[in-house]
Amino acid sequence: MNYGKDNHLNEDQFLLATVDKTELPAEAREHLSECPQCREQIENMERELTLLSRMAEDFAPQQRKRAFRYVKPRNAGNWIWSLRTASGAAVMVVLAVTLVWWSPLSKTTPEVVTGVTFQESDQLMADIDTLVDNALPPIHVYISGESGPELDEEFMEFVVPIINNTTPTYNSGLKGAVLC
Amino acid sequence: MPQKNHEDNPPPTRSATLSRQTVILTEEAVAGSETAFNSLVDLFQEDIFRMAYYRTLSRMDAEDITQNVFIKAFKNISRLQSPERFKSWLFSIALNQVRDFYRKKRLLTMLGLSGKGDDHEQDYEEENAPDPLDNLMKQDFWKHVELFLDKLSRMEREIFTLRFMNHLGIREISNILKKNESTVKTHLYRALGKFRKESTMRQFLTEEKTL
Repeated sequence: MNYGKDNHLNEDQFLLATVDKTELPAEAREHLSECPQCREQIENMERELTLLSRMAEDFAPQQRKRAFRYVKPRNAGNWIWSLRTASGAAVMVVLAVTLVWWSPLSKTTPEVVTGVTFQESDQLMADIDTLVDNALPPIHVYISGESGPELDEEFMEFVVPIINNTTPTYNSGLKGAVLC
Repeated sequence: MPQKNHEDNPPPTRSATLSRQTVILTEEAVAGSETAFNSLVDLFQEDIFRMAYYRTLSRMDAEDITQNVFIKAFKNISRLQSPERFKSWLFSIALNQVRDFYRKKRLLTMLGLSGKGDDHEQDYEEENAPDPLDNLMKQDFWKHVELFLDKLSRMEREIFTLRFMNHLGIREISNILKKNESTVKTHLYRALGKFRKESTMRQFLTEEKTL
């Protein structure tokens, strides 16, 4: 096709030139280099596409969360060290427990101590019982009358009679039972 | 006929100045350097985040996808054969993650467990509350983009987005999608034809430019 002064690029060639100018036939390329009108048309199209791309960039929101970054774990080999320390500590504890368990002191001393403790406890309880029995000084006991001969069991029974279980009460359980 | 070299024809707004640095860092990361890997994360996390955002239109989902992409990359970087293809490799992981995301979302919707509404607008309410006019403009822009992309086939949409929104070259796109370059160009050609007919979208862009 011969490209004259008034024979501009057609629509297909125009699109082809926008995609990739090297795709144009040699004559069309030659025409394009000489025709400012066709060049301007292509430049306008490219300008619109540039504008689209720039606006898309400007109008896209800002990334708030930054993307993944590799962070090397601090002291990566530490778990081996921790494992060794933990195993060592466990062995030490087992050894200590075994030593205490099998040592001669661990068997005799507790028995002796326990016996002494029981004796002391009995003595202490006996002292406490004595104190409870004689809680008041003798003079107070006399004033309260607790030591008097008249306050024997018979006298107390007279003051506070013992309730006889055979006496009819509200709780006799029989319908129509009469309170005496 | 001159030899075609698409790497000589870089995307309109993105320079490829970091490519050499990327190759060096990738070689170190493949050899086991965590520092090099972290530098790669710093270099590419925004690209990946945007790539995910353009496809999900949700900041939180895009962040999650970005996170998963780099975790996957970290786990598999030792298997990367060609360090010069790191970017394509990373984007193909990202693309798979986006597909997984939609698969899960579809499944949840089918089971009636998807509780999420339109968090695209919600994102803007959260992020740009101080300037409601600006907020409105952004919402309008994304609605136009969404409407336009809906008119493209799946492959056209993918290629158009990778080329003109993620600034990838034809060769990179062909590596990511595992399609040959002429297939990529054909889809791009069709997508551009539709873009050219999209007068509302183009008018919106021109108006915004004059503002």
